[in-house]
Amino acid sequence: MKRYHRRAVLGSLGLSAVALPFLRSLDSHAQTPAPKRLIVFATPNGTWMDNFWPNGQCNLGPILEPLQNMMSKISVLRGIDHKAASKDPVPKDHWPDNYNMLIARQPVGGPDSFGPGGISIDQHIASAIGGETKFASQHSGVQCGGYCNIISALDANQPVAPENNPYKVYERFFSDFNVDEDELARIRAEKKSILDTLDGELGDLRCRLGTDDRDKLDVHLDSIREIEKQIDFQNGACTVPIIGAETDLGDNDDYPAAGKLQMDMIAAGLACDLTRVVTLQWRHGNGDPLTYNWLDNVPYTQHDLAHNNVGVDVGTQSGMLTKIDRFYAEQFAYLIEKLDGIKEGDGTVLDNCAVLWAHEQSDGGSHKRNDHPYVLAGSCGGAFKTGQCIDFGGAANSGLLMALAHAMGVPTDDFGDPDFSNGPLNGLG
Amino acid sequence: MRKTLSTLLVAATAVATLQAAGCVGSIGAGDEDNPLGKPPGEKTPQGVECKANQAGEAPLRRLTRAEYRRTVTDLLGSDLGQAEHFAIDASVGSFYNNTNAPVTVLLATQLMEAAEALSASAAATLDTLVPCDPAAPGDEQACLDGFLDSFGKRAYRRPLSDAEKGRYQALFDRMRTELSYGFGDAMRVVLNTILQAPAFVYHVEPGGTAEGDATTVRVGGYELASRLSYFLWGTMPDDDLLAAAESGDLDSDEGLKAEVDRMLDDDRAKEGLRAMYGQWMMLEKLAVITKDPSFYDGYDEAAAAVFREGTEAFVDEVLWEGDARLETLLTASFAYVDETLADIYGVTKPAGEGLQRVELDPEQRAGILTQASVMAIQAHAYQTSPVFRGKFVRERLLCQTLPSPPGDVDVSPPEPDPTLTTRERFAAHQTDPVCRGCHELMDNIGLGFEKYDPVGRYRETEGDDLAIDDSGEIIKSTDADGKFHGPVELSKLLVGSNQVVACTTKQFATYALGRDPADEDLCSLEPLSVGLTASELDLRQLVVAITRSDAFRNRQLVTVETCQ
Repeated sequence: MKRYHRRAVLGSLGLSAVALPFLRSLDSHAQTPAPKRLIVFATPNGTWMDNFWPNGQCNLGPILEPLQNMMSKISVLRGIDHKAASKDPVPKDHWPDNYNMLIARQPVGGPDSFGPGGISIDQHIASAIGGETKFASQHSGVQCGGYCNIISALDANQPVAPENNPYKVYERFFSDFNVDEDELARIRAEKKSILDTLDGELGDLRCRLGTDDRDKLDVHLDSIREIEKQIDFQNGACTVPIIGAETDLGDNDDYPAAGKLQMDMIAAGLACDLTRVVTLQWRHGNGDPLTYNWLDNVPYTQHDLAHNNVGVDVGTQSGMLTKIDRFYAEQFAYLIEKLDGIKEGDGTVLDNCAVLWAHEQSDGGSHKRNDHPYVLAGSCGGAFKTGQCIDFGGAANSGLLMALAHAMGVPTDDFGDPDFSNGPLNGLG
Repeated sequence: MRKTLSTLLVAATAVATLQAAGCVGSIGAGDEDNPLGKPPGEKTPQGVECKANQAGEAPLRRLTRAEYRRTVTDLLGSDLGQAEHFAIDASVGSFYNNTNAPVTVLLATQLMEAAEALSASAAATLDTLVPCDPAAPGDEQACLDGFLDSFGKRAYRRPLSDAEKGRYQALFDRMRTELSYGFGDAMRVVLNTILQAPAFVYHVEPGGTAEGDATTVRVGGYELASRLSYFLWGTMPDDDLLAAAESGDLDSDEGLKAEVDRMLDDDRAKEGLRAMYGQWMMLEKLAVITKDPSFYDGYDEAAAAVFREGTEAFVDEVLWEGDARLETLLTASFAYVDETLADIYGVTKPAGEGLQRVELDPEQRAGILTQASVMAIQAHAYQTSPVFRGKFVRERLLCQTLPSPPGDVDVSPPEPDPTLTTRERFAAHQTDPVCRGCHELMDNIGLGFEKYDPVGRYRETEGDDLAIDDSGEIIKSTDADGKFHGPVELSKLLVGSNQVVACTTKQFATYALGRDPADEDLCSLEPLSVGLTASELDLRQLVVAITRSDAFRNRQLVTVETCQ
């Protein structure tokens, strides 16, 4: 059983405690040496591999073409298998495959109540380095609310859901910048008194429960203490972005705008070093009704197209799926170009990031769980060699996850299902 | 990684739930106080000795989003739309119950932000919540005490302990002195905290001391009151129910029965049980399915809502105005329609505001089985799905769990082809031995629904004017096996089956308990369905019987280790 031990919170090193808004726009305010960050960008329903995988000498094809300008800072990967996801009994759906993306274990539980099978790599990394930033990790979703396929988890049966409202992310990230110091002290004192009371209530209840329920309440207590840490955290210098008045971004056609705003918040949060571990999840693959009306001639949902429930010929199907995944490539390009536009030391924030674009399946039609396609952007402070196209020919995805952990300075030689845990993937460095 | 036919068959038939779990053969063995009760001393095949007052463990559960919304609305008048933005609920079986999915940082933050917004809003009308004038409170101590005794009790669904009152007192004092808050602001902070307290956020049933060597304990009066109110109403207990808990009335069979009768007569029961059967029938999916406009133009948000309302009106009439028989739910040929649904059912909408009741052709329509909602949910956007429809009958009505397809199988349905019938296009499921083991369980039922298109319209032909064969067959059930043509005949097989009754009992009990019934629960739940067929099962009586069962009124003791 894990119990949180209150970490010594030191504040951002060597920086003023006072917010310095708008002074150095598009500069990172992080310390030296620059921190490393992990961002996972997850999209549903697989891809169309023939149009995803670069041809010849790593020439980007129809799907990845929007990343052409960033080619020197990305690598394209394939041949990575969600090996645990193929272990019997295979829960044949999109969302168990989402669990396998960052956890590399088959989910636990029955057919109607699958939970994640263990800790995800983002949480594994956040548990090691999350104390250094105000937010141990940030999980954002783009219209991934009522139905959402979870990718992150603290442990078995402990899913970590994303926040879908970018205005809420803004509020949590930035609302205590630019607040009068006395007022901030009052808000903090009030919140801390509330949390102390809750801590007492939770602690009391915990002692009256059996082991399983105590574990659940320990997660709650950890969460309360993480929020206390956030309240205590001394803000560093930060360029607070401008978000504008809140509008409802829940409609089908708001999807690109909701995504852009979430990416803006993530980039701003990373630039201010508010967190170093991020997941961004776009919709989901469970029969999602989204139609990509802003694309030319794509009248169907991605899920129906992937399964070809719509009765079109293969050429039409692949053409439409290519347009959809190309749309996601454009979003990925937006994010990494944004990160690359923020100077940090001699390079950019992107240079100190590992930004991984992952799909829950390689092919959404057949729910294929091997030969997954990825784009890995940023060298994560020199840990990865970029500009490559690598076919790993059937390596376990746990190897990729461990490679990410190593790059983030969290050495990990064992992760996910022990049957497939063979240490970090070689060849990315 | 190909599975052999035999493993699939074993997996597919290892589906027994209530039926095979034992405790059968005791019909009529109860006594007058508990006519459906089971005599002690029998063993289930799993080796559980069925003694009196058996029950499973009751794990800690967090309020679902719907429960939070309705509870806060009862407390404060509105939840200000907070719950709809909470992270997704986790389910067990067919139902949301948040047994898993503990409070992560995001959830704790969302609960905190919701409590901040709600308490800030409530502070403006604090006079409705506290027993004094907030502008001139006079004896502040008395006012705080009164607030904790009244509002606190409603929020905690039980009286606060002295330790809890002391905590809120200390919080209040700190706000008044250290932060120099006025009375109203200090009360706002207390209210804010109550709305995040575990006693409010969770269904809490801790502790308990066993008598003698008993392994179970009666749930306390307040705990039972909460079980009742969230089962029957989907929200917190009202003052009368809390009073019945306090007086000990709920401890007696008569007192319990009186409260249950009162609660079922209350309008809240209608909304409460809608949540249950809505999840059972997967009606939430109406909001996320799509229908291809080339064959049905107009499946939009409004249509999704009216598909749901039509089914709710149908079930509500059966439950609350009709005979409440499971048979009626599965066979009745009336429906509630607006213009959209009238078009789907091929009738003219009678004049009048809102949904109107119509009789449909009894040769074509059979209760929930042919409701537009169920037919549309269990179909693709562009074509029907014999697989989904068969799976729905197997999993939701027969409680048989189907294994997932082998890992290397393409699960995309065959492409639509106007020159072939659906039956012909799905023929590979019947000929390929890898597919057949499972698909003969699903498709052979689902193909019987072929005369209902992907939004539930009745049709005699498909594609290029091809005649539809709607023959189907149930196999490998306990007692519903047989051949049929169309859902009307299928419903007759289901109505004559005890397995359907046992399954319905299991579904209702899973919802009532917030967990899959354990073997110990089955000791008192199984007898509820023994020997009954759907024509005999009264669903309202089933709800009542569940509230009177040992499983509902007891819980298993768990080891509580000493805390530091």
